[in-house]
Formats: sequence, structure tokens, C-alpha cells
Amino acid sequence: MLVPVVLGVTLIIFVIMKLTPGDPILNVYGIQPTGDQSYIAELRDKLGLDDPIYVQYSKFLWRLIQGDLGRSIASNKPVLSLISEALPNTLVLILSAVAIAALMGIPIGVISAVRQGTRIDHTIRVASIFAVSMPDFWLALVLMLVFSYYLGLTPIAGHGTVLHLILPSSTLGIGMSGVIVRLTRSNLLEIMRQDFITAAYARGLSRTKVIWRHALRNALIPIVTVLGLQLGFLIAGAFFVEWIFGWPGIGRLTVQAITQRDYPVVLGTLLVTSSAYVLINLIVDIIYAYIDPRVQYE
Amino acid sequence: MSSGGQLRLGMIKHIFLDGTTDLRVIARHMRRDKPALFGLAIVALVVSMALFADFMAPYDPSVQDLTKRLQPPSFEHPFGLDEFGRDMLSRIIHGARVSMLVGVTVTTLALVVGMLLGVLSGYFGGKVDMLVMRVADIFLAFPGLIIAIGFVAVLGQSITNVIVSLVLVNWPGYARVVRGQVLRIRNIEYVEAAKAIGASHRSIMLGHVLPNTMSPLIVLATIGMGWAILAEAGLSFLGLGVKPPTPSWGAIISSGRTYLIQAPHIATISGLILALTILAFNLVGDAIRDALDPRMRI
Amino acid sequence: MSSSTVKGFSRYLVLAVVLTALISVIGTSAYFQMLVQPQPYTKTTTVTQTITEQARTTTVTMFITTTQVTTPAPPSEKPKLEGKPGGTITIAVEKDETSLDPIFSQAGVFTDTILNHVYETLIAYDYNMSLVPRLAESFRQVDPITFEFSIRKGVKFHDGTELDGEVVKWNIERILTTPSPRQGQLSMVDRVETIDKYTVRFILKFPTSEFLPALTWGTGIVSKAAVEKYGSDYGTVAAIGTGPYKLVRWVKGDQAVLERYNDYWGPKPYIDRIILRVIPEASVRALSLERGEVQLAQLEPVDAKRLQGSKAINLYLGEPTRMIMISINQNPETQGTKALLDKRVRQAINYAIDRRGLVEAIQEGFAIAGIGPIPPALKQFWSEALRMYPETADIERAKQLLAEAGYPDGFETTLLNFFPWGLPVATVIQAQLAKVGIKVEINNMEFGAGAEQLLVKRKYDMALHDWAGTGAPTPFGVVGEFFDPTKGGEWQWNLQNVKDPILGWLVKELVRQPDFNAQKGVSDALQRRVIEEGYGVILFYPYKIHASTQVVKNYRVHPHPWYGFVLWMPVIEAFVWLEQD
Repeated sequence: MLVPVVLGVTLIIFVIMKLTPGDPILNVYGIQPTGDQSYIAELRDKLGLDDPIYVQYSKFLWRLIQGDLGRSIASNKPVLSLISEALPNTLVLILSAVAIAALMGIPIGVISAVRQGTRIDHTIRVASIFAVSMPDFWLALVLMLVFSYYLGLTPIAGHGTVLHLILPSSTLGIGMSGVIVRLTRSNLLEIMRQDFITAAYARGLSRTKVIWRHALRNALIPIVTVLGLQLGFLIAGAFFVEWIFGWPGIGRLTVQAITQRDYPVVLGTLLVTSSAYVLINLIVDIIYAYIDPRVQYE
Repeated sequence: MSSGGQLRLGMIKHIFLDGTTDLRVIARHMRRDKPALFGLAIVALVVSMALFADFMAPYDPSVQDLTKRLQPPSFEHPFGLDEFGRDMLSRIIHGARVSMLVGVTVTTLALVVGMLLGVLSGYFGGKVDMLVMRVADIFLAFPGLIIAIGFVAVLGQSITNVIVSLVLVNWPGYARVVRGQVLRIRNIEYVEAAKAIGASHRSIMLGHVLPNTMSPLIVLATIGMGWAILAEAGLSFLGLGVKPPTPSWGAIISSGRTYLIQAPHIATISGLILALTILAFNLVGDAIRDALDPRMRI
Repeated sequence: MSSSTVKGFSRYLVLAVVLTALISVIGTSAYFQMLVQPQPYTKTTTVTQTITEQARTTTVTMFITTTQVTTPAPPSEKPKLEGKPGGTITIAVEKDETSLDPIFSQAGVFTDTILNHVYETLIAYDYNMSLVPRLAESFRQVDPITFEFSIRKGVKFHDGTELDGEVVKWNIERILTTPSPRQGQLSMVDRVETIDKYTVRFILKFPTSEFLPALTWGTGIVSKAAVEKYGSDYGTVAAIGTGPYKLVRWVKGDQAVLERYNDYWGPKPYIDRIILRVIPEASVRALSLERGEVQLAQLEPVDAKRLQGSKAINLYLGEPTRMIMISINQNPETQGTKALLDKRVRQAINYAIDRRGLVEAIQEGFAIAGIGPIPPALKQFWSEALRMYPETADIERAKQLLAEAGYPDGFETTLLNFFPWGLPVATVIQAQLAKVGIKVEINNMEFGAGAEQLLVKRKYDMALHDWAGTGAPTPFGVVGEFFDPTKGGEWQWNLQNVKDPILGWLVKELVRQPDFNAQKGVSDALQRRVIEEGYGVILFYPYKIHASTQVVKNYRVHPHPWYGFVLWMPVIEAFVWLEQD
């Protein structure tokens, strides 16, 4: 069920890329000032770029079955190694972003729920929607301007140390925290209305204990699932942040390959990202069904 | 059964003014919701910027003055000048035109396509349903922006390609929701009754099913506007949007990035306007949702 | 007189005329031979040779007599080595390219720098753009199509294998037989022969001045053993040459690390390690330099302007070898805007464009306003005196010319652009031409598609591009193929599709003149013709801007467009060191 979806995507992308004008060889090698450009035709031949589409696609599928994702036209490196170098970087980035979002978002969401209807609640609501509305490429620039340049607190770009990680993951984290705040608030409010909470109060438990011990735990479940889904989405979607901060992740790799018409890399990254997304969705669905007996899984 | 014109008018009144989608309910709620009013005001402002740009803009947005580049905000130029000496305020006002054009067109088209396919899918079920949902899944398996980037990068930079790619990415969301609603309603008694009487599929869909899907759709569409504007800005940021000299907020932010340190006003101001616009649409959508049904799971 | 007497008399007359003609021709050519004065270059002796014209072309053969064809005297015994060893230098680069195998390498700062330190070419250009031997100890021209190189003895590759004539031959043959960007660069080479263990001969297909320049870059000598060992992974996993640094690590998209090669044949480099770090964002590169996170970088004009006054940063400007220009299609069949075929319209465009404004807007002042197709780096041939159109625009004159040509209200046309840096330039041009009523639509294409449009389909109105010549830093190298009417086919360099017989003749003369003064005369005439006809608009010549922190000592920008950052090249006395405390 999932496999045809994923493969279907790759087929569509493959066909679109092939049918449109644009040439990876030129994009990658440029025009050489000396001598003639006949090497272009020979390279195209060698890489099988002029074969009919179905030939190229079936070659791709055949190699895929053997676990070979081909080689990048641009760097001649195996696509698999390019992806395996980039993917962990992205994972580090988005996991820290999720952590930041959760650490910031959940407490604020709780406050918002507890002080429902007050001015604080309203302010938090607007702020969280603003956090979600902000374009991440803009926020990245603003944070870089303030923290790296004016305040000099963080290094400018690249990756390696925790200091390098702070800005990019905060950029992503702030956006996500908006969603988490809203979710925490609404879930908590709904649970607080339920009978077992009233029962807990009746038993004499203090308010804080009720919230933290009982209510929150239940409220968190859907939040965790949402976070999981966001994770899947961010794998390729963190592209702007990766690009602006020079973070060598898979989003940046994908877009770079698209603009360079590096077909093998594009196919490989899209395959991996969509599989990851589908996989994560599946896991989240399963966990959700397992935890919440009310949900029926088709 | 009844004459065509009267039926249609009746249906429209029916869709918009029956209990679940009462504009008056929405209006009443909004009056009390200050952030929503703020959002509405900004939406109105942006729409008027788009419609009346030629009158509102103090200068011609494409006139360059290379001797006055990168000037910070001043009395004559409240938003400063860009890297070619063009007035930023005028460019931002004209940029609203592109954003609104893309936003409205994309949302409308995606809505229409999504509604159509969602209703067909939910109502008829079976193979149609499977096919449509599989296709929707394919598009949902990737972060939309990556698909849009691929599409535009490959097919060429033009506003048409931008709109088409964003519609392609956007319609599954609407289709899913509509389908869900349709499934919910399909088995309700009065639909069964209508079928028993022998009403045509079309009149059932138009007369009963569709009106009940409106409420989540309105919310979705409003928030979708915000998304479309953000997506267009993102594409323009990458250089894949409209062609120069037409200004687009994303393109302005992008060129502001080059001069981020020496002329921060370019990127920060234009990005702020973009963020506020998206915020506005999200606030309004949020308020509509609260008005209709705060527990709607969108 | 009888008719037979007349005929007889005229016969002798004809004979006399012919003999006189013959004598004068021989006499003048002999005289001109005597006049052949080779241009003296520093540290060299040149050899005058009588070159017979070959059947294939009449171009180029004489040209060879004026360049160095023999090895210059070896540099003075004690090179200026006055630095302190040690330290690591980090260089910020925009991106890394595809391969460190010279054959498959693309020109780019990252690749250029690494290739220049890990490998060595047989010959190289020094800071004055004169040829010097490098891996070759000496070289000479045996005949018009044969060049002989003596390979340095006792040189070892990083993997321990030895350098000799056979390895060089294998390298060149590899270039000649593998489809790659480099293959075309040596297309004039017919074959390579090894005379003895350390002597190699190149036999060309035809005489050309492009051969020696082609050996100065991109043709670094590679270890045969390494290529055989690594196969298709060579260039990404390993890069083994004879240079002063070895490639220790390359993480694609991140950085590459070079370490001093302790068995280098020449003076050992001071700097222990060179790290090339990939930082795609230009402003981030500049900030990293300011912070001292990197010590050397190429700067965009924007950042250079900002750092101009900074005491902590040194700026180095390289004389421009490159020009940014607009070409106007002169082929009536593929030119979509008929107005552009009119000389007055083209001149109007040249008058309407504010070059100084462009220099300020695009290059922040770090460029020279464009004049003609010879760049300022060719010092002897570039002159401010040739400027015809004012640095800032002359709108009145432009409008006048347009009116004369019959377009008082201007016209519409398109500008093709496929370079990433081109869009801002195109936007400014669009606004400037709008002032005289010319409405320009920018046709922005992807690089590959745009290059095909310009070089294969050859169908465009105006096109924006850069130009740095076809390799040799001489007038012919820069404009020879550009204005050659026979080079208008697919992938050939007559981008403007010009069929100007005067220009064609001037180009041939350029090559035919051995005497420097004559060359200058022809070059000036050629430039004047090009400027007047306005086949294109030379916008500006951008400076190459390098910047370093204070710890970097003795650095100079090498004018060659594809040498990257030159830190250690003993044959040109490049000895960069780091101040450490």
C-alpha cells in the first residue's frame, strides 16, 4: 500500500524532470572556455541520459532493488552515501527543534489553559499563531542578525558544535512551538472537563498535582503524535533553515539536486524522505492506536 | 422538480444561511474577538493594497536611483530604499498584489478541485474513493514546498507555474476534509430519505451534502490563504516566483539577505509585513473556527 | 610597327614587371624578417624562428615567436623564504565541486585551489602572466608542432610512486581519450612521445598559440597507480599528485583538509594544514572572516565594501581578467528585434547604459567601467583612451540616435540571462534602457537551457554573460574566436554571430603580427571597430576580491582566472605563511 505510493511519486517526478528542457551536465560542468564541448554528448551517452524514459526508469528500479541508488551526476559520489551523510544532520536538527518546541510550548500551553479567558491567554494565543505564521526563512535571518551579528553570541554558520545548532533549531522550534501551545491548551481544556478529573479533585488532590499527574499525561498523547507527524514533514521541509545556516542536511541536498537537475540524487532523496514520512506516519498511527483504545485502526 | 433558477438560488441561500454556517454567528463572535478584528483589519489593508496599489504607492516601484542605494527609512521614504534605490514602501504595496493574486487564485482553485474530488470520493466510495485518496496520499507524502520547487524549477519561472504547482500541492487537504464530512453525512437519515424519494445524486450532493461541509472548509480556506501567500513568498525567495521588475515580498526578502548587515531594513520590514499578513489570515480563520465549532479538528 | 614587335615588347614589359614584383616581395619579406624583434620578457630568452605557413590555417604561427618558447633562467639560488613554519589556515569557499580528478574537475575556487596545491601542471603562469616551468624543468619548441619538456627528476607522488616521462605520457593520453571537460582543452594535441625517461614530446595537430596556455591549468599530473587503484572513485575518495600538499580528507558539502607533504621536491611549505570550508552564504563567509573563524576568503563586493576600512582585514584586488557584457545577436535570421541590427540603435544602447552606476550598484565600486573587449589585466593592450561612450550615460545622445534610426519612442526586446549573478545586472539594465523608451523583458533561464539557447540554437535578441577569453592571456586569446566569422557554429565562440569582414581581417592580422607595436596597433584598431559598431555592450570588468585576516602574510592574488587561492608555489615565489603567537 505504501510502496506503490512512494514509487508512484518517484515515477511522476522522474517523468516530469525528463520531459522538460534543462541539462544536468551543463549545469554541473559549465561551459569550458577552451576546446570544444563534445564531451557533453559523450558523458550523456555514458550516463545513459539519452535513453528512452522507460529504459532509464527500469534501470533505476533494477538498481534500487539491489540497494544501489546510483551516483550523483554532480559529484560522482554514490547517492546512498550522500544521503547517509546528510540524513543524520537533519535528524539532529529537527529532533532538537522538536525538543525546544516541546520545552517551550507545553508549559506555555498549560499556562494558557489554566488561565483560560484571561488577557494572558489571549496574548499567548496571538503569539502562538504569530509563531506559526512567521516565514522560517525570515525568522532565520532575523535571529542571525540579532544573535550572531549584533550580539555575537553564536557562530555564523556551518555545523559541528552545540553553538552551531542553537540558532537553526530555535528557528524551527519557535514555529513548531506555536502549534504545540495551541494543542496543549485545547487538549488540556477538554480533559479538564472530564469526569475523572472532577473525581481527582473530589479525592482532595491539589490543583497542581491534578494537572501535572493526571491531566497532562492524557493531553500529551495527541501532542506526541502531532510532533511525530511534524518530524516526518520536517525531514525535507527544513530546507530554508538548512540553507541559510549552512546546515548540511537532506532538505538542502534535495533542493540543490533539483536545481542542478541531478536526477539520481533527486530520486534518491525524495524516495528516502517520502519513505521516512510514510514510515513515521505509520509508527505514529500504531502508537496512537495502541495507547488510545478508543481509536479503531482500519 | 422545481424550476432551475429558483432551485439554485435556494441552494445558495441554503448553503450559506442554514444553521451550521450562519454568517451572522460568525460575525457576532468576531465582534468580541479583538485579535480577530485586528486580523480582519490587516486583511482589509492588504486587499486594498493589492487592488489600489497604483494609487496608494507614493512612487513608481521600478524607478531606480543608483546614487541613493540602500538608504535606511527616512521621512521621504518611510521604508527606506532598496539596493537599486527603489522606494521600499511602494514595492511592498505592489508586492501585495502578487501575494493576493496568488493567494486567492490558488485557494479558490484548490478549494474547487478539492471539493469536487472530495465529494465524489466520499459519496461514491469504492474504486473512485481509492483512486482519489491514493493520488492525494502521493501529494501529501512530501512537504508541499519541495514539490512546488521541483515543479517550478523544472517548468520555468512564471506566475502560472507557481499557481499551478501550489494548487497541485494544496488540493488534497481540502479533498480529505470534504470527504470526511461527506462520509459522516452520507448515512444520516435524511439523505437516505432523499434517496428513497428518488432525488438525483446531484441534487442530494448539492442540496444536502455540500452545505454541511462548508464550515470546516471556510476555516481551511482562510488558513489556506495564509499558506498560499507564504508558499509564494518562499518560492520567490528562491528566485522561482514572478519575474522582475514585478515586486514580490519573497523576492524582496531574498535580495535583502545579501545586504542584511548593511541594510537590515530591507529584509526585516518586508518580512514583517509578510508575517503580519499571514498572521492576519490565520487569526481570522481561527476566529471563524471558534465561532462555528471550537472542537473542530482542523 | 608591326603587331609582332608590339607583342614582343609587351612580353618583355610583363616579364620586367613580374620580376620587379618578385624582387620587391622577396626583399620586403626579408626586410620584415629582420625586423622581427621578439618581445623580451623577464628572466627569459626568446628564439626567433622562421615559421613556414602550414596548409591548414594562416593564423597563429608567427605568434609563437613572441612568447617564451624556451625555458627562462632558473630563479636566483636563494628564494625569498622568510617566514615561520606552522599553523593551519582555514579558507572559506562558496561550494565544493564535483571531483578532484583534474580531468573531471569543474572550475571553482574550491577545486582550483586544491588542484593547484595537490597537483602540479607541467608549466604555470606567474603573477605577471608569463609562463614558467613547474613540473617540467625546462621546455622548448622543436618545430611548429612539436614541444619538448624535460621532466623534473626525483619527484615523488604522495603515494610514493615516481614521476617520469611515462607517467606524464599516460596522464596526457588519459586526458585525450576520456570524455570529459578537459578533453577539448587539449584537442590540438595529436600524440605524446617519450624520448627518454625524463623527456616528453608533444606533437600537435596544427600550430597554435593555445597549446602552452592549455597546459597551465586543469592538467595537473596525477599518480597513475592511484587512478588504477581507485578506479571511478578516484577524485572523490583520493587525489594523489606531486604538489606541496596532500589531500587528507574531503567531506562533501562541508570541508576539505590538505596537509603538508614532507617529501615535496621543492621548498617545503610553511603552513602545516590548509582547510577549505564550504560556507554557501556570502555574508556568512565575510562574517566568519571578521570573527577570525576563517583566515582567507573571496568576498562579494557588498562585504568587501563593508570591510574596506577595517584594520583587522586586508583586501587584495586582482586585476580583472574578466568582463561582464551584453551581446547583441547580429544574425538577421535569428534576431527577433530588427532594430538591433541597426548600428545607430546599438550605439544608442551603449550611450544609454550608465556603466558607472552599474559598477556602484552591482560591484559596490569594485570594478572598472567597461570600454572594449580586452580586459585591464592585459596591461599593454588596455587603455582608457579607447573609451568612446561616457562612463555615465548620455541619455540625450541615445535618444537622438534612436530617433535618427526611426525609433523615437523606443521598442521592445528581450534580454537572455542564465547566470545566477545576472538577474540584478539585468534588472538595472532594464531600468536604464527604459529611460530611452526601450522596454526590456528579462528572459531568465536555467544555466543549461540558457547556454544551449546561446551557443547551440544561437537564437536570442540580447544576452547577458561574462567573458574571459579562451585561455591565453593575449588579445588573440581573448577575442580571437569571439570575432572570428567562421566560429559561428554550435558551441563556438562567435556569440554575437558577427560576420564583419573588417573584424575578421583584423583578428587574422592580430595573430600575424610578430612585432609588439604592430600588435598593439591592430588590437587598438580591433577594439575601436568593436566599440563603434556596438555589437555588444561591455558593461564592466569586476575585480577579483580576496581578503584575509592579519595573520596571513605574503599573500598575493594571482590574476589567472582558474588558479584559486595561491599559497605555495615555489616556481612563482608564492610563499605564504601564518603569523602565530
